[in-house]
This record gives sequence, C-alpha cells and structure tokens, in this order.
Amino acid sequence: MTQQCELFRKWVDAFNGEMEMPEALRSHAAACPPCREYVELQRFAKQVVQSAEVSLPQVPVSAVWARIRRERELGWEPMLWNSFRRLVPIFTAVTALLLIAGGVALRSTANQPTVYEQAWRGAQPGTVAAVAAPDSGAQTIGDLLVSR
Amino acid sequence: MDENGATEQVSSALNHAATAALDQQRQAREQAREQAKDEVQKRDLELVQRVQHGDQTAFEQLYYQYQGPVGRMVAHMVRDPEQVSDLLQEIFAKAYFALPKLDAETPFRPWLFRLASNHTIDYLRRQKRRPQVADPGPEQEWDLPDQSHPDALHRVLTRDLARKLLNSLKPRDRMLLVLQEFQELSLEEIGQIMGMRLPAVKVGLFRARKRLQEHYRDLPAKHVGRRSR
Repeated sequence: MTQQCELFRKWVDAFNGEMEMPEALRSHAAACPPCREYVELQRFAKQVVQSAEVSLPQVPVSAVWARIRRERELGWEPMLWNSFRRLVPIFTAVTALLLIAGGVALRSTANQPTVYEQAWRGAQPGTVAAVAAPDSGAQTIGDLLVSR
Repeated sequence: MDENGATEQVSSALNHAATAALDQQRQAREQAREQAKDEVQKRDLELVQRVQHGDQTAFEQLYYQYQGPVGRMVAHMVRDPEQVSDLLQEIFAKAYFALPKLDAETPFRPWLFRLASNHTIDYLRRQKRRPQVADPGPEQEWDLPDQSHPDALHRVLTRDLARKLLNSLKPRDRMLLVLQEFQELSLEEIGQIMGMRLPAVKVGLFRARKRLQEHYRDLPAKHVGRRSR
C-alpha cells in the first residue's frame, strides 16, 4: 500500500461518504483497483444499512421504570444472571478438568508400592527383613521376621 | 533543466500540495468530531454523576438522549419490533443497575453502546440455539439490479433485500456495520464498544463489507441473464 493509498483510505474513513470525493482522490481510485474496491464496498455497505430502514417502537420511560421495579422486586437481577450464564460453560469445563486431574492423581498414588512392599523388594536374599503391617496381628519377634 | 523535468517538478509540487490539503481537511474533520465527542462526554458525565447521587430525572434525560440511537442499533439487529422494545427496556434497566459502578474516567456513550451491543448479541445467540419450528420454505428470488452496470452496487436496494443482506451476516459483523453508520461514532469509539483495537476495527469492517457484497452476489436472482458474476 502506497502513501497515496493510505491517505485515500484515511480520508474515506474520516468522511464515510458524507462529502463528495475531491478530484485528486477520484483519480487515485481510478488508477488503483484495491482503493476503488475499498470505497465501493464502503458505499455499498452504507447503502444496505440505510436501505434496511427500521421502524423504532415508542418505548416510554415509564416502561423502563416498570422494568427496573420488577427486577428489584425479584431480589436478584435476572439480567445479571444472563450475563453470568455466559460463564457457565467455562466453569463446567474447569470443574471437569479438575475432576479428571484429581482422578489421575489418585490413581497414580494408589499404584505406588507401600513402604512394606518397598522393604521386602529392597531386601537382599539371605537377609532378614522385618515387615509387618501395624494391623498384621504379629505377637512375637518370630512373627515379624521373614526370610527373603 | 529540460522542459520535461520542469513539468515533472511542478506536477510533483502540485501533488504534494493537494495531498497536504486533503490531509488537513481530514484532520480538521477528525478534530471537529473529537470536539463534539468531548462536549457529549462532559454533558453525559454530569448526568451520570447526578444519577449516582439518586437523581431519577437525570436518568430519564440520559434515556431520552440515547433511546433513539440505541433503539436504532437494536432494531437493525433484531427484526421483531416487540423484541426491540423489550431489549431496549432491558438494556436501560441493566444500565441503571450498573451506573453506580461507572467511574468518571469511563465515557458513558461507548459504555452504553457496549452494554447494548453485548446484550443484543447475547440475545441473538440465544435465539440461534433455539430450535426453529417454522419451515422457511423455498428461498425467495430477488429482482436484482443489473450488476454489469458500473454503478450497479449503488442503485436503490429494496428494504427487504437490504434487511436480508444484513441478516445474512454474523451478529458481530452486522454490529460493526450498523455502528459505522452512526455518524457521530468514530472508529476508535467503535473499537471501545466492540472491545477491539483500531486496526482490528478497520479489518473487521472491510471483511464485513466484503461478505455483504459476496452474499449479494450469491442471492438467487429472478432474472439470471441480467446478472454478471
């Protein structure tokens, strides 16, 4: 885009079809297809928006006050809930992710060997390892000694 | 210096002068718009502060001031006049509840338009998610202007066709175009309303216009022979 194109587009944006285009800009548009397209698209869009004429309903200010009173009577504003509702999918996704991550963490902890299993596996053959779970019911030292 | 060289120099000087004049004209236009914007902001700030101190007539003044522009924006986005009326009430009620939290640094006009635009786009999204019961039937054919004519795009469009074209755009694209046509809103203000930076507003507007033209070209025409692609 040349400096001329930049000036052309800035001018077109600033006036938005409110003023007739000066000769210098018209001759630029005639020689520069992208700038011509730029201004033609702008004119077309303007025409579409203006042709899509809308009839404005008359809403008296009393109707707005009535709405405000209704919202107040409800105690919480449903309109604010509507805004909050947009966040519900995000909250759901975050909660689901936390549950999955928690599940994975629990599972990996459950698969780890207990201290007793680690002691048994770590003992050399011929040595004696004392392994007994606190709830094993061992009464004597003999009960606690196990040959590997 | 030969004659050709001199002519080129004069032409280049004239060109620079013309460029500078055009840029001055543009800057003057933008300054005038800024000035008008500042005046509006000053007036609005006073009213907002009065509302924050419990003055209900100040809120009514704000309503009378903006009911038209906001209503027009909503009406361009939503067809049903009853829905427009409902949305307008909801927007101003929402603004009323949010006004106490509005600080003096935030300009009221873009703030209100942003609230209105978000509310309307949310409404349109909710509508889109609802199952459509009515069968739209076969697509209507349109009597389109002859596009082989160099000025074809600038001919008069019927209101129904213009509405159909606008409705064929995504809500955000449509909103950008509708906001652009409110002459008092600068591109910067449109950016504030839509939560976009200035370059993104320019690109967004260009794309929205381009899509509008593509949808126009894709419309089924009654007189196919008259159309050129």
